[in-house]
Amino acid sequence: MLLMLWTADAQKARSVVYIYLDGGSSQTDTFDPKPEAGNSYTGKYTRPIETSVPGVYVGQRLVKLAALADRYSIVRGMCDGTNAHETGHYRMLTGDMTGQDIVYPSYGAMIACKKEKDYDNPIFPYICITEASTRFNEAGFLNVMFKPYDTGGKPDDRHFDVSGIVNHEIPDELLEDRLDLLATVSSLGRRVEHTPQVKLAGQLRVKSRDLMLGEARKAFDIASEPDSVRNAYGRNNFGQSCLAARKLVENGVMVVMVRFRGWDTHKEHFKRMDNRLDELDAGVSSLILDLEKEGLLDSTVIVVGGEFGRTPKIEFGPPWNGGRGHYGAAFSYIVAGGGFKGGCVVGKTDARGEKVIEREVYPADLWASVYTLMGIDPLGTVTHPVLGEIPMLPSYGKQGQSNGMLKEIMP
Amino acid sequence: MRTLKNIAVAAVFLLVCSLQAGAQKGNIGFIYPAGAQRGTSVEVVVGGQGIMKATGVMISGEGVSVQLLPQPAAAKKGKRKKKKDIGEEDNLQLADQVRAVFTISEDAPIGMRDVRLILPGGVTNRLYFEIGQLPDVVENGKAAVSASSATLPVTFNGQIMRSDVDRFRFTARKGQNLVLQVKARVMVPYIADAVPGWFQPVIRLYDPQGREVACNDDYTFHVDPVLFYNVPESGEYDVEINDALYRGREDFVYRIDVGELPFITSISPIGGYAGRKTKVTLHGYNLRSNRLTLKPSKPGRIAVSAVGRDGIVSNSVWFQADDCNADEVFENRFEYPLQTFWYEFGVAETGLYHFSVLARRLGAPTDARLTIYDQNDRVIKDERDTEDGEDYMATHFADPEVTVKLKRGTYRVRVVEEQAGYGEAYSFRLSMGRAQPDFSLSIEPSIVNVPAGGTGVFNVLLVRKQKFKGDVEVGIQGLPDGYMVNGGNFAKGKKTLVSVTAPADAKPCVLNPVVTGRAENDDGEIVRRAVPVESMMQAFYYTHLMPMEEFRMEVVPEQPLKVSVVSVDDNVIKVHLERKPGFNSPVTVMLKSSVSQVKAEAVVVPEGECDAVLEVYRKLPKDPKKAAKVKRTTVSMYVYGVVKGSSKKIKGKGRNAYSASVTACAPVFEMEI
Repeated sequence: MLLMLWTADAQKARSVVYIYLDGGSSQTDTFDPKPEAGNSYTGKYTRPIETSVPGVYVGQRLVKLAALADRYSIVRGMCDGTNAHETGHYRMLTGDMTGQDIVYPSYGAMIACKKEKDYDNPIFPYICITEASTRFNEAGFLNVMFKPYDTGGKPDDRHFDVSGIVNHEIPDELLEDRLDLLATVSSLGRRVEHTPQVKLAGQLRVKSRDLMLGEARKAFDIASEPDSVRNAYGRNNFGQSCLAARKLVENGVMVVMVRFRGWDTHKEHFKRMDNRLDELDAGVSSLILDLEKEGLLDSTVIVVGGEFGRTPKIEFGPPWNGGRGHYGAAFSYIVAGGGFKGGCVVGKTDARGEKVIEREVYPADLWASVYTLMGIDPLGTVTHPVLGEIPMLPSYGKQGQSNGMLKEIMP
Repeated sequence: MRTLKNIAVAAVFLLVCSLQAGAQKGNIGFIYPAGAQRGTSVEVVVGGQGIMKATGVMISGEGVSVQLLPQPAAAKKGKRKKKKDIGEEDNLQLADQVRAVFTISEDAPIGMRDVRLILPGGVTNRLYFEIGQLPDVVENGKAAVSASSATLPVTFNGQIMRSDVDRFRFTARKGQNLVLQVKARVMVPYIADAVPGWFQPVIRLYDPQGREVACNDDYTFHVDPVLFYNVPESGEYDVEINDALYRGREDFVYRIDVGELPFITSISPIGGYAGRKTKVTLHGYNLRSNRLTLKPSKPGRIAVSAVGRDGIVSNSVWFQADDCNADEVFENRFEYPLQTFWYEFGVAETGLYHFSVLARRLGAPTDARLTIYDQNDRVIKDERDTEDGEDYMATHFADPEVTVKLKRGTYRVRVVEEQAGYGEAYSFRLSMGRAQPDFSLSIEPSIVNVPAGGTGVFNVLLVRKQKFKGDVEVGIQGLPDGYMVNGGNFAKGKKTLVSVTAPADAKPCVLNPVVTGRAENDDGEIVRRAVPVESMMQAFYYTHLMPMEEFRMEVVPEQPLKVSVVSVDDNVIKVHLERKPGFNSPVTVMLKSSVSQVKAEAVVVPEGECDAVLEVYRKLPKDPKKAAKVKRTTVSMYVYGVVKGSSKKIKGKGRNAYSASVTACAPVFEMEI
């Protein structure tokens, strides 16, 4: 395998937004429709729509995304070889294969660590809306400051309260009084030895105070957006999470994950897909358009996909009643912005979407590409507290775990 | 032909008359209550999907009669929620409910029975119903606690719905040694769409002051909890049950036996020899005697239970009867943590030898590890857990087994307890000796439809034991004259296909043929009877083959479609469809083989047409080196045609009306590929 050479000037992107379709989304209902496979495979989605790129089709409910197909590329050759959520999460979130000696941090923690020197922002470098708690989305052996910060809250509520930062029920004066009181009664910081950990805790306290009371918290203020903008994203938690992601990127946050749950549709898949797909369509299309309008799309990588795909063949019998199971052999992602070309299709699956027949793309290939666009050498190392310098993306370049970066759609 | 003498069939004539090839088969998910005391009548709800047209109920064993009740008017209108109201947590597969009255005679044998619903077109899958010994109390709907205090002994029955916590009150006397035994996973062993893939009950006991005094979520390695409690003061006690994760749904059914019940926790020794007397010590609660003498008549695993006060029979534990002429057998018990047992084994002649630890499979909690060392203290084999496909309830195979070729010499064998467990229950039996290659067979599915003039196909699965390498010849006995059998060659594989073709004039009936496997080994001929099995899925992923009481071949009326193979030439199969006049639907013609890598793309035969060609290919490994090593083998296969049913409304029929699907098979044949 010829690995793409990394050069320092390869950096195009400043931020990454990962729309994580938690549970595993169906490739055939979204970005790799197979209308010829018959009803056992398509279910009711028999009429995919042609996108703005001639000859490229997407699922029939993705009307807005179809119109924007020139802004993103579809990766139809994704495969991570696992049908289990836990291993799927690990592989997609770290780019590493499971079963090795070292458990790796997630992509977001890795980017935050490698770009630490370039990041000067009171907001944490890696934010998850609204929760990161898929297992393995962690800082692992890296410094705790690189772990994802979960916003909590409900973006679609009247007030989007962000855990530990924004609480609309507590006025600033009361919050300041409480912080002062805490500083007075908590003598621990004065009495313990000033180790590096204690110093770091002190710095983080100051940072948190600035975040809670300073201008930075406005990055989460989606209520200030006009109704027309909020409506375009969809008045639901996912849509408003995408809007929040846009605002965070505007405010210089390096990595944002929007965790979109509800794709694990073993049972009665189609009854739930209509809503999910409509929300996905509105949220992602608005995010792409707004970032483009703000001039930020070129410097923001958008990645959309889950831990695996879903079985192309529908399971009609009980207890599934028209469900789709886990499927890691072939699935689809879309990537946009940050240097990725739009309007392309990478990889191809067979007539039923069950097997990648051209250009397999592994999790390591995806993250190697994103790291490169972020100015990080995917063949570089990271410091492990016990083992010293170790490869940051060990699967990249290994036979059976990698098939090369997405050079087809990279500058 | 085996008759149905052991099967009490309600409305058999209805079944025979209503069998229609291709009609929809239903599925059942729960029976509630999940059991009843003998000498009583109980109204039960059987829940599932596609069962509303049930015409009867089948229950195995003797002493139970069943009457299907007419559906209440409300249920007829449609119990299911409207489509738009169906959320993520709904379980359509449990939404249909039929009611029946089970009348159990005083002398009905206690224990688990197989229950199936009879539907037009066949019978459903099997679920269990327990014939119990104790008076029953059934959960009082949504009440926080049972309305009145029950008198012991008693069996509490309930169903755990989401976030549900059920509580039952009973009166206990000071000094009573109570046993509270939950039966939940044993009633519905595996659930396909839940993680964990079963109801995981937790029980708590509360004293008259409302204080929690005991709690249990697992009994040794069993999911179903058991509590033992010596009552310190007389009064009203509560037992509470919920799922460990506070999940709940209709198939989370349970029974809790409560009282001064006899309960065996372990026996010692756990095995002996066939034909010889063994004095066995029983450990447990409320046993009238703790001594027992066993003299098993033949080798194998036998169930041991004891009778307590009032004639109540205890739970069962296993006792292993070994052949006194075979193998060296040692029985020991781990008395303290990390105890190690060493054995010496002399090999006089080079050959295959078998080492086996039997403990967990007999009900002991022991998790043994077996290591074999040669004269130079080098490890020859180190085995922790060996999968036993016949232990269908196990999800952790804790007993190690090794079959290994050894040269002449002296070897040392070590057995340790992997989890540092010890105590009176931690026994194990180690057998060491010449390997005795053997096999077992199972048939899947356990119910096969054979249309008159048409063909039914089933899988026969082979488990090779102790490196058995011989050929196994499958035979089928008990078919009437005129029936034709094809297939049954395993070649080198673990699975083969067998087809049975009925004569054109076959009348609808139920047959119970016996399938056997015959093979030769060094000691002569081995004949093993195949066990019918039905697969159950656990937690979206794992599949378990559950043994059934009978292999059932349902002869159904002639179908409007027949499929035959005209020729097989160079991986090309020419297929002909014989349609009844007026049956012109498009037919999807497919191939199924005994080897998953051997396939053919499906071909759709257009409306009214009758011929198809399938091209067979073998999917090779991606790695060219591995692909080059794939040898040509004989594979059994069959061709079948499917006309799908329609779920659309049919004019003039109810909203649940379906047009029937038709699946027609051709006889099994073999191809070298």
